[in-house]
Amino acid sequence: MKLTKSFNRSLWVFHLNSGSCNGCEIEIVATITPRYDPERFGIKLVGSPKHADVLLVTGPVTKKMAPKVRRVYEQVPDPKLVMCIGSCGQSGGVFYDSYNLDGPIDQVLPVDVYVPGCPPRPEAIIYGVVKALEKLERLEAAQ
Amino acid sequence: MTLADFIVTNSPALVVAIPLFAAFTCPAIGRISAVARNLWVMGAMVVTAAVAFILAFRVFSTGTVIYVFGAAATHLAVPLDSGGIPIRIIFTVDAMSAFMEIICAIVGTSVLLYSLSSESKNTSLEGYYALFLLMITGVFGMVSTGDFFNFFVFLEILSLASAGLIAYRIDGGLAVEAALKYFILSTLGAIFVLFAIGIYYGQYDALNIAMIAQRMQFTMLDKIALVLLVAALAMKCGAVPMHFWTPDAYSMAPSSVTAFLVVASQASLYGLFRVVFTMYNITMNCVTVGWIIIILGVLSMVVGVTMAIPQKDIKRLMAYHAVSQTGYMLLGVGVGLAVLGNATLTSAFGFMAMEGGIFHIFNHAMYKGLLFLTAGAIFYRIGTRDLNKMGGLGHTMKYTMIFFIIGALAIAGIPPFNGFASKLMIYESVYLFNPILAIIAMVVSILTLASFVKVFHSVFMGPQLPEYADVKEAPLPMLIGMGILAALVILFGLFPQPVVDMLVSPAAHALADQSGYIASVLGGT
Amino acid sequence: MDLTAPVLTGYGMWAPVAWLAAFVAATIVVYLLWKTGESSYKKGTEQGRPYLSGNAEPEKGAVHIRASNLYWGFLQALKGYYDAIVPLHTGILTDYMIWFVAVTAVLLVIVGVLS
Repeated sequence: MKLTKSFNRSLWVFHLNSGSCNGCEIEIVATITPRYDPERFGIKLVGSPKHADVLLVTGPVTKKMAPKVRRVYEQVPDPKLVMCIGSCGQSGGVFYDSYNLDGPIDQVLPVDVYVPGCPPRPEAIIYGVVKALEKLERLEAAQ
Repeated sequence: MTLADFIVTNSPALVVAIPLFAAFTCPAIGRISAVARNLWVMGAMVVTAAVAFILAFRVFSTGTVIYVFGAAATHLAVPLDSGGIPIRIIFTVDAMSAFMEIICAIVGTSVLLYSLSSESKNTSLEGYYALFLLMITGVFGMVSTGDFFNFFVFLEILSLASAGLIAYRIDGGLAVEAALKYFILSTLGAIFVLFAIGIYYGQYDALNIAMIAQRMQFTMLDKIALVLLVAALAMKCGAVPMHFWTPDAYSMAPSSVTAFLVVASQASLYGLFRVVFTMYNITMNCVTVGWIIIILGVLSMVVGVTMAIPQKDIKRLMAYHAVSQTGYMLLGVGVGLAVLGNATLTSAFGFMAMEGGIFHIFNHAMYKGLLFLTAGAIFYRIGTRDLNKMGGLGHTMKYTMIFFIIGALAIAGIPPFNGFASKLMIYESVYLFNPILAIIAMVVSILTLASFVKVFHSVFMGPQLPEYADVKEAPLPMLIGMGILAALVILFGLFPQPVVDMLVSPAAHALADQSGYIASVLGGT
Repeated sequence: MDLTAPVLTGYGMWAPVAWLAAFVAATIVVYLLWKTGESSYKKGTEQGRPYLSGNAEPEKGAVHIRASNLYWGFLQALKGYYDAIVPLHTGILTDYMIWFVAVTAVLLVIVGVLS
């Protein structure tokens, strides 16, 4: 996977809800408030997966949402990262072993960074983003 | 006398005689074979266009050409024993007439080339081509003649031939109904014209335009004649609120005919300008008549374009735009007329407004003809004019789409196409006359663009629809016909100043210069 | 004869060739900017299809917006005007002739009596 200069200067994030309870969404919105202001590092939410570098997936991936999650992942241009926010995406959380899940997320998409928590605090999400940047730097160094 | 001399000398008569002869022999030639008939009409049209260009070149290089029928020499307008009255039929071709003849020659040739292919599937084509050539005869006659009764005759030839062609595609009686409306309104208008001619003849013992102009007193009778002529000719060119026939007739006629009906309407516009500028000029109250023409123009622009936006029939929509564009010409020339008596204002902006209006006649004939031809190409391939049923044609009809874009941008006044040059001249000169009029004109242009964006989107854009998967590009003769007009639209848009210098400015001068017109006919006495 | 001479409008001028040169220059700049972009998207995959909130793309015929759906807001905003003007276009020949004759009469009053 070839990385470009513009890629490590600003990560544009597309947020996808795959069946979450909206707890994680509230925290993601809290993350982009002026108090934390990740936009000074070029990190911001965008409205279309076609503009995004990072796919932020919340929720445990219900059966109805699975094909849509796959389609949106395919629509993100390469190179791309997937971040899983919240416990549901890692294990199913309170929906563990439900008849209605196709997830957790790593059953559907290749996940790069996990941010645990129910919901995770904004600091945790920012730490996850830093981990994502570190991973990108490792990838770049390996080239 | 060599053949070349003969053609040059008799060119004013030949531009009318050649299509007239070809029209009436067309049914006989058609008995031989379709190819012979096509060659015959196309040949006649090309020769007529060539003669018209020779005549126009002569006019623009040496000044007004007069042609007296039946005289010993073509320039002897007034016989010695007639008491100073030019009794013969005279063709007076000044720069304005030559300008109109160039338009007619260009549009006539490209439209006829287009018809060879667009109408090839239809029956009774002998009649079609005969009537088409009669329309050409009518337009050439109307713009060349210096005799007012003769003008009426050619107006009637044009109206009858047009009505026949509008009804040509019977279409379950719809086309016939449209033709009937056109025919009856035209006849009513022609009666008005005839009545006005009677008034002139009763007062001034003359039918020659120059003679009437010289003797013009502007009595009450002359006022009545003026009103009858202005109303009748404004109706024929489709000015609001007498425009109702245009959408009916333009939408039901075959597209090639519609493209030429635009030129036919402009021949009536020419007649209107000829009446107010050459026959009356400053003897009448120029401000009142100028404002009447301006108001007709503004009404045409606004009502035409706003009525175009909700239309669902592509040709009906374009017909309303034709009404709207005619408004620009009326506005430009009306402003020129309103300040005609005032030399300072005329040189400040009045003349520029006239030039803009006249240049717009030329540009309109080119891009509107082009747009109607593209509409015809779409109808030829998919068999419907309903915009709601169209979509995705840009995938298959690429050249038609390009020609449509060129025409649509030109009509909306987008640089660098020709519509922008003439509209800019109108805007800026009219702004000096009355800013509100200029603002209305600009808003109308924006609405025109909006309306053509709608057409472009709903016809050409979008995914390829399954029902039009096997639609092909329009045939080559139709593309060539559209290509000629599209090339002129671009050419005149990129190099407007030479055109203004060579064609438009002399035409505007000829129109404003009444004494020059009179002197060219009666000066020899 | 100078082909590229500008049109003088009595107020300003219009030089299409200069405009075209500026247009071409701007196009080249735009092209160069466009060239610096990444061309990493893969044709023929989902990356080439429209994003419709993750839903599958509908049939081709179903996504085309037909002419009647355009400018609905414009027509609605000018409803009063259109309610007045559209019924005037009756399509009845008698009405056409009445308009024609009425306009003639009005012009007769304006030109013949008032001026």
